[in-house]
Amino acid sequence: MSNIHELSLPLQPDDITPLQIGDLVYLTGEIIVTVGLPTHKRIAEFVDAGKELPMDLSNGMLCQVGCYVETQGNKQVSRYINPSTSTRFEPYLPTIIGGTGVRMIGGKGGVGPKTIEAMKAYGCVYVSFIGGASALTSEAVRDVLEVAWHDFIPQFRLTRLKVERLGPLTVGVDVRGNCLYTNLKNEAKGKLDSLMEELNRDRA
Amino acid sequence: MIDYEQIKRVSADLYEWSLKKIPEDTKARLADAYEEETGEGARKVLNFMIQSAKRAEEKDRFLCSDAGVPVYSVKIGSQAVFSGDIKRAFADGFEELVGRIDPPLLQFVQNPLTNERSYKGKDMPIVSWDVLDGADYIDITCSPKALGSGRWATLEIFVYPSLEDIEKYIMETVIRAGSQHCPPVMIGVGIGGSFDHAAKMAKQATLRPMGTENPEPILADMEKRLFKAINKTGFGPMGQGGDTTALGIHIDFSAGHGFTPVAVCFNCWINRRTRARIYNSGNVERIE
Repeated sequence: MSNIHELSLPLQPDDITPLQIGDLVYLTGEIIVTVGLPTHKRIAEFVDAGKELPMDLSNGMLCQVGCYVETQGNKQVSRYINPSTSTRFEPYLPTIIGGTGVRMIGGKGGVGPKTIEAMKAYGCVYVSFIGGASALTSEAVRDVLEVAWHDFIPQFRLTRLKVERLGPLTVGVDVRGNCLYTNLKNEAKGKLDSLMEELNRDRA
Repeated sequence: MIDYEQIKRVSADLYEWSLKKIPEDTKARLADAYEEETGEGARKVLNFMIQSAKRAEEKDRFLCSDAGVPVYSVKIGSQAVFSGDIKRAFADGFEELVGRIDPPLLQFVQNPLTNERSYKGKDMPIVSWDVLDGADYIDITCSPKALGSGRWATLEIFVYPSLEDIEKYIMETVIRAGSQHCPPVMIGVGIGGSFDHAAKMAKQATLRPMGTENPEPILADMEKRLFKAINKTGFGPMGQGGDTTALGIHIDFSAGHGFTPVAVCFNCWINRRTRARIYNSGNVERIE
C-alpha cells in the first residue's frame, strides 16, 4: 500500500527519510529544471572545480525536465514542462548528488546504479513524473523565477520554477537505496521462464 | 491534381494534431485498461494520463512536450497526379509549422555527429514511401518519434528460428526496455524479409488500428498469447508496477531467405498517429 506525501521545498533530510519506493509525492516550492546533458556535465564540472553554481541546489530538487519559457512583456512565463529519461544522465548525477547537497532528483524511468549508490551515501531520493502528461503536470507551475546559462538552447538552460502541488510523482529510489525499477526488472526476469512455458503451452 | 501546397499544409497539420490528441482507439484502450487494472497506484497513473490527454485536447496543448521528430509513412496511389515537388512539400511544411505552432516547439532535431540541435536536419522529416496500386490519392500517416520509446527498438538476425525463439526474443526485448519507454506501450514486430524491411514492417505494424484482427492466423494467435504474457511481466503504467504494460502488440511478416530478421519497436502510451488522404479531386479526407 503506497502512501501519499505533501512536501515543501527546500527539503530537510528528515523530510525524505519516510519516503518509500512506490509512494506518491506532491511538491510545493522551488525546483530547478533542465533537460540538457551538457548542462549536467557543466554542473558536475563546477562541482569538481569547487565553483559556485548560478543556483543553489542544497536541500533542493533538480529535475530532468524540459521547459519552454516565453517572454511576455517584462515577465517570463512557462508554456509547458515535461520530464525526460533520467538514466542517460548517469555519468554526471553521482557527482552532482555528492557535491551539491541536492535532496531530490526528478525525471522519468529511474536512474542508474551509480546514482542509486550516491543517493544512499548522501541522502537523496529519486521521483518519477508521469511521462507525456504535460498538460496537467504543467498546471502546477506558478512562476518562472530565474533562468541561467543562456549560452545553451532554451530547454538546456537552468531554470528555477515556483510550483504548487506538483505531482503525482512516484518515489523510484529511496534514501536507503531501494529502487522500484530494479526490483520490477528483477521480478520480470524471474518470471521469464514461466512465461515462456505458458507461451509454449498456448502455442501447442 | 494534388499540389505542393496541399501536401505541405496537410503534412504539417498531421504533425501538429499528433502532438495534441491521442488516437481514438488508443483512448478507448486506455479507458479499458483503467477499468481492468488491479494495482491501486497503477490506476492513479492511468487516470492521470487519461485526464491529461483530455486537458491537452480541450486546451489545444501538447500531450508530451517532447515533440520528437516528424516521421511519415506515405503511400502514393499509382493513379495519383501531382503538381510540384512532393518531398520538398514535407520539408517546407515542417519549417512552416515550426514558425506558426502554438505552443511553440523546442529544438529536437539533433545532428548525431555533432550533437547540435536545430529545427532542421539532413533527411528531416523522415519519410518512408510506398505505392498503392490503383489508388487516386496520396495516403499520409504521421507518427513522430522521440528518444523515450525510440531508443528501445531492436533488431536481430536469426537463422531458421522457431516461433518459440522469436517469442523469447520479443519477451527479452520487452524486459530490457522495462519501465523506460512510458508504458503502456504499443509494440510493433516485423519478422522476415531483409534487415531494412523487417524494421519497416515493425514500425508499420504499430500503425495498424487496435482491435483489428491479423489476417495471418499464426500471427493472430501469437499476438494474443504475447499480449497476455507481456502484461504479466508486471512493469505496469509508467513502469511503476501493475497489469498494464502493453496496449497491444501487432506483428507483420514477409517471406525471405534462410536468415530471419526480427525487429521490435515501441510507441509510448500516447501512441502518436494521425492520417489523411489527398485525392486527385483536391478533397482532403482526415482518417485519424
